[in-house]
Amino acid sequence: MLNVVGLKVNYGAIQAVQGVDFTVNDGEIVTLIGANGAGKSTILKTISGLLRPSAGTITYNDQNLAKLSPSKIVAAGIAQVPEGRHVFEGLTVTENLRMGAYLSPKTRDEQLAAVYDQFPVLKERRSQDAATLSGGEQQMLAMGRAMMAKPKLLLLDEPSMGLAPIYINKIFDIIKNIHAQGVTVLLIEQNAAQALQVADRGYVLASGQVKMTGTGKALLANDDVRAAYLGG
Amino acid sequence: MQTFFQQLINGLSLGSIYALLALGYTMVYGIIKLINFAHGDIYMIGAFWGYYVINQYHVDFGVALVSSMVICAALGMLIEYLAYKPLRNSPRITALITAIGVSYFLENGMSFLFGANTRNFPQVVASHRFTVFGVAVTNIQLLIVTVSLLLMVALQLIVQHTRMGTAMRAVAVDQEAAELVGINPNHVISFTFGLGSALAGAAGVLIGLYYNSIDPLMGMVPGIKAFVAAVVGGIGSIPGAALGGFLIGILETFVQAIGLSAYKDAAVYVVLIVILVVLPAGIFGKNVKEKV
Ligand SMILES: Nc1ncnc2c1ncn2[C@@H]1O[C@H](COP(=O)(O)OP(=O)(O)OP(=O)(O)O)[C@@H](O)[C@H]1O
Ligand SMILES: [Mg+2]
Repeated sequence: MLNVVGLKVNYGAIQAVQGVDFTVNDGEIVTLIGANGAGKSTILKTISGLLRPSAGTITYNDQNLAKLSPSKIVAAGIAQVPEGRHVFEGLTVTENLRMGAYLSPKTRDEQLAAVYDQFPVLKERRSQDAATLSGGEQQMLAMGRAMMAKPKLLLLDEPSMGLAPIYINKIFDIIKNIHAQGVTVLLIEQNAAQALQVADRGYVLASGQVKMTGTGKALLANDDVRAAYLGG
Repeated sequence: MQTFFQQLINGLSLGSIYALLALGYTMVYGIIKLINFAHGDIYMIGAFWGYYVINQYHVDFGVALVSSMVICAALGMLIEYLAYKPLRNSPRITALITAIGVSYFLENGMSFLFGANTRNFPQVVASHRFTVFGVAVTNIQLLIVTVSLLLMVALQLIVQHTRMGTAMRAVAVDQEAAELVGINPNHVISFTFGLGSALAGAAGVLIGLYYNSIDPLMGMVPGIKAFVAAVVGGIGSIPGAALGGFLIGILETFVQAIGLSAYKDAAVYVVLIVILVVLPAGIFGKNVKEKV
């Protein structure tokens, strides 16, 4: 479904991603794990078209994403939940969700009902300014907003960041639930243990390169991964 | 007391014009953080367009107003496309200086093409004066205030309740997140310029009717005052710009009424300074620390 080959991304003179290859197959949950600054968010921003690769290719169902605008990439079926949630403050919860279906106004209302079914807490807060939600609620709003676009591939950038343990479990349940609806998931996490548990496969990233890859289970059991990312 | 109400009516009329202009400043600033110094000149073009269609084609007020809004919207979008869009990723000061350049270009271009002299704006609406409780009101004043208020309500409906209006607010708070839901910021920015410029075009026709005279430099001072109004209201805030416009209009007429005509412009700048000191974010502004 998504095939990344030899991807390099620079910020001016800084090489944030230095030749990364990975694949996400239809129906999988794939996770990229790695320490701060490994280049994870940079990769997701490049897939979404916010950044342009300096080398390499990103192919999505035979389309070259490097040539498409962010809006065309959303239209092709890829939605992203950005790191730090980035809900639209000053807009209500409903307005935030409606913006998620910006490109598909025809199916918007029906999708809104589906998202409210999945996130009852958002429905309770539907007329509230998104800025007044708690961190966990904002994370759900950001995920609901991405689901409004009816994506085939969902990119999640550290959805559990900064949340209390109870919320983290909730977020992982939602990810499984979204996956069960037939959505393919590319998950970025620092919470490596939980990410590897839900993932079919994982890639370990360090300094802009893939250091290791394998099934979620295999990486969980790997001694180097345990030492570096799972606290021994 | 009578003079008070008299000046209030005069101030509201003038204030409506400032409010319409201030809305354009505030919307554009809200979305691309640019102070569009050419905005007052679009208002001038709107007045000239009204002058032209009324004299040439003998259209009525409504046609002059609406066509001026359409022409100015198109002009605003064209200016954005040609002058500001290529500078989207340049430092802000570059775009600011370009805006000043566009302003000079429009002022001098109009002087060059049509002469720098002042012209009498055709009076398409016959002026009637009537007295209510000893306060003189003209039908033109009522027209100005009514049309302005209707346009502000329409703007509010567009911004709050349409898909494009909501996208405008989304881009203003978080452009990257807006792109991630599929909004093309270029379309939204263009739309914003169109909307603001349409209001400026309407203001140009209204001021022609009110003051009777137009010239290529007529946009300079009202442009600056409307900018002050937008800052007073809290730049980026739509209700703030409307309120700021009325406040500045009323302030100006009152300063004039107490015999300090010579200081009416100075008073506006004093207000600007006072606001910047005591309420730096303006009346409705959010006090956000700016990342520069
Ligand atoms: N806008 C930017 N300008 C310059 N350098 C940047 C920019 N954004 C990221 N970088 C650099 O690129 C590298 C990769 O950053 P990135 O945000 O992709 O890391 P990450 O793996 O997502 O980290 P984290 O886990 O902290 O989110 C880092 O060294 C970072 O400092
Ligand atoms: Mg990151």
